[in-house]
Amino acid sequence: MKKVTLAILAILACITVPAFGQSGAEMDALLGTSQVGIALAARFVLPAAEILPAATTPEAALAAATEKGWLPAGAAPETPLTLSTLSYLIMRAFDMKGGMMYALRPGPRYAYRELVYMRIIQGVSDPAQTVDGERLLRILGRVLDHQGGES
Amino acid sequence: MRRHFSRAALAAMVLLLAVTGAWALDFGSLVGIAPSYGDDGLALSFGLTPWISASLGGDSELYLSGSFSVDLADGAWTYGFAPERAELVMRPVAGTEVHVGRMRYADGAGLVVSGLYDGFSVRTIFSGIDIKLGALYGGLQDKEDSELLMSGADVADYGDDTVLFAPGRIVMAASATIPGTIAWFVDALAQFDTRGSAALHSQYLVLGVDGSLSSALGLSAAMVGSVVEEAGFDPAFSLAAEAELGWMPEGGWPDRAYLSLRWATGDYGAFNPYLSVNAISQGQIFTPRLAGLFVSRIGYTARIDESLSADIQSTAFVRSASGGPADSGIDPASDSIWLGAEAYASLRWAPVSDISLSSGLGLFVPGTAFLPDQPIRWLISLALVVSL
Repeated sequence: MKKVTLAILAILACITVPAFGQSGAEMDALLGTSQVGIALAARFVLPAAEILPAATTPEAALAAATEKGWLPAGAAPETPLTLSTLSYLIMRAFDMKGGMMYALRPGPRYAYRELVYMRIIQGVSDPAQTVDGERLLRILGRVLDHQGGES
Repeated sequence: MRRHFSRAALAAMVLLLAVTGAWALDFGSLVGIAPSYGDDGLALSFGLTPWISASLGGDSELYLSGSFSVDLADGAWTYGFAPERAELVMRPVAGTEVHVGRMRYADGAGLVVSGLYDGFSVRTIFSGIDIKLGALYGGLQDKEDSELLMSGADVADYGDDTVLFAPGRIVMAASATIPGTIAWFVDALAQFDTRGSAALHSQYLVLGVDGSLSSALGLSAAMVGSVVEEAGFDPAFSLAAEAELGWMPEGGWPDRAYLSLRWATGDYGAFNPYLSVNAISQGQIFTPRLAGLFVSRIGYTARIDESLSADIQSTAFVRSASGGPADSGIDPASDSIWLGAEAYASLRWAPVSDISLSSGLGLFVPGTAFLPDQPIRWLISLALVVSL
């Protein structure tokens, strides 16, 4: 079942490569990652938000996200990505509006709540949960769908 | 008892933190204020509902919530705390869910059981059939918050200040749903009164359908057969039924027009007044149970935009010749079946994800079954909920 899911995701990844802006090999590598690091996440999120070019590196993406204050300063590239950290990165990169609490105290906590409310994060989750490559792609796909629906 | 609830909730939270580690939790609180004004005067309710949600590894999760409340009604202030949803959800294999704790439970038609219960339920798919089993207990709830009122003993306990908990009733439930464009479902429920003397037991069989007739037309219908066994009385048979037709016109935000009919036996030949396990009210202003009633409702829900929706509905209440609802305003000498009509409009606005504002305005015009001097009943309500 897992193999079938991965195969479907790989096909989807090939179809959606232009949207994310990465190569098929990078997509395959991401799908095989059980715990995505923050640099790799930034490498996929920032180009998808058209903040960085598709050919950027994880290190450059991490530097850009850290400089903007979207990821914790000084964190190592392999630092495991949590759902709350990913949520804040996505909210800022895609310039998404949050609720009252996010407006008052923008940060990972309320960014995570916002993405759960929008059903961009689905299934069993908590803010500290780490993210595998498959889930990152699913979440990014829903963000792009949501953004497409808004435009 | 409320102090014990507070201690139990605190202990549960500390245990949870110890077991899972605070880092694995999400937590928050709902803060609400709900004033209302009607023919009964002013009522005001403040609520604080803290919650904790945790994933426990794999596909298991835990949710705990409880509600602190301060209420003004009939000129008197009351306060309290009551555990609300406290549920452990486990998914041992794909397609199977086990729920343990305090959970909301309802039968497929919403005509028998609908409310919070303690216990467990299992849901699984077997040969394409969605099967759900539940073993539930109502007697651990604060009686003020419970809607378990079935017998004279229940009513007496409700009025007795020395009784703190709801009636000790066990509900065993099994349901099977054949999914599809038109889903067919059957529910079998048995309710057992754990009190020895003056016990009242009941059993229910629910058959129903729920589905789409076309892309714009939805239909649900169900029928309930029930038998009630009360100490010292012969078994009492009763029936209840409901049907609803919904129409969703084409458009950007889906509006919905609906027509629903509900009926249950009163005292008629071999049949007796229908008795559901929970007191499921059939109106917004006039709130009788379904026994001996025919209720027709027509309404329209408009989705004005993503954040704003409005609903307007009109309901007519007709009773059977005998065995209909009890109400202090009903004329005991009247043999009229016309109980009256109700109109209700509501608005819900959620400008952002964590703020929700809702309001309602309704009135009930008593019919000829009521005493002639009965005034129109009305209610204006407002509720603001903020999620922190």
